[in-house]
Amino acid sequence: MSLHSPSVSRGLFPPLYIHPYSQSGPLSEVNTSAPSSGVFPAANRAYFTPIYVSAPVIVRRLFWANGATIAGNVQAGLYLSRSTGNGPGPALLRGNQVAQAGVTVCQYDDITDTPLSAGYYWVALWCDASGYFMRRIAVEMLRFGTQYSLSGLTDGLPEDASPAGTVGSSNWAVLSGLCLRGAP
Amino acid sequence: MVNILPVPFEPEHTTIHTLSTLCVGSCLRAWGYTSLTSFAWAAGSGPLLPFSLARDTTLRDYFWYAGNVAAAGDIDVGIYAEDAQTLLNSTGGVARGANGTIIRSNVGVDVRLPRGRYYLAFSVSASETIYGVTGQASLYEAAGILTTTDNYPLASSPTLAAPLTNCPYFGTRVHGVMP
Repeated sequence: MSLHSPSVSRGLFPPLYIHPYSQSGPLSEVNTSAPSSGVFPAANRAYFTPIYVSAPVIVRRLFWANGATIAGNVQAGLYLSRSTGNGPGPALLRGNQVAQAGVTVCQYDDITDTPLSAGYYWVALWCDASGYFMRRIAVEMLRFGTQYSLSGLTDGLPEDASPAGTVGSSNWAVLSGLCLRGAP
Repeated sequence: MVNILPVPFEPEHTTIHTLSTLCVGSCLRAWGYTSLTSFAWAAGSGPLLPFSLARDTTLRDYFWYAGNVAAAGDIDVGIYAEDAQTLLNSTGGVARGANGTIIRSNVGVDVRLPRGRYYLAFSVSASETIYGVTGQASLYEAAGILTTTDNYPLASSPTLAAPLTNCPYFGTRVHGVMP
């Protein structure tokens, strides 16, 4: 009998919304507090947070949770891990740059349905304005992510030791991620 | 050489409910939404909570946590398919039960659900109090929670509405079945 036989297990289903706080996300087992509305620290800044996808899925939309004030253009994306070290590398999905709309609601960017293999990825969220608010947690114990100074999400991030544009690690955990096929 | 890859097992579960990892519990716990309080729940409206089963599973009964103020409403709890439109099973509506207690309602004939994604659904016939968690509507949306209106008793093709800021504590007792 194979260890991968259906009589043993066929694996976990990922949740329909995959983000840093969802099942298998880096923050799912950290009881902190709910993401609150916080001002985006700097214009033209992108935040990257690692996520894990436990089974093959189809991504329908990218999303983020707007805060109490809206004033900027936003772009969401998904990156592979870099080939060496720890951090985001090549871009897998880059959404559109869209004006944020709707206060304290989830905003979506419909993209072409895209199949995704199980594995580790980085969700990215970029904004061009520092006056933009979104739901996030900023706590030192949550310093899992990294941040870059970019004029928009790029095809890939340099993998040298000190990549251009890097601002360093981030204690910002933005509520943003993937909405899968199956979610109405 | 044989490579043996790790297989992500689903742990055995006896219940699936609002705070379960298999349901939306990972998000709610990460956000600190773990304190149960009694709140009023409007007639006909109700959440649909996504959950997944990594193996075939049999439902034994449903349960909910009756609130601290008595009212005359009945409770309906059930299961929708992944499309959130096809009702697979429900209690059909039973008395809410004594204040401040977990109430169980047998499903009658045990219901077997194949491995897959589903929604747990809840609704009341008249304004009722129920224990649950209070949070932010946009966060509930990011947990995958749907909200229905005018959905008592639970029926197929419910109308979906904007998320609410409360979410009842309810669920189902299960027995895992190895395929």
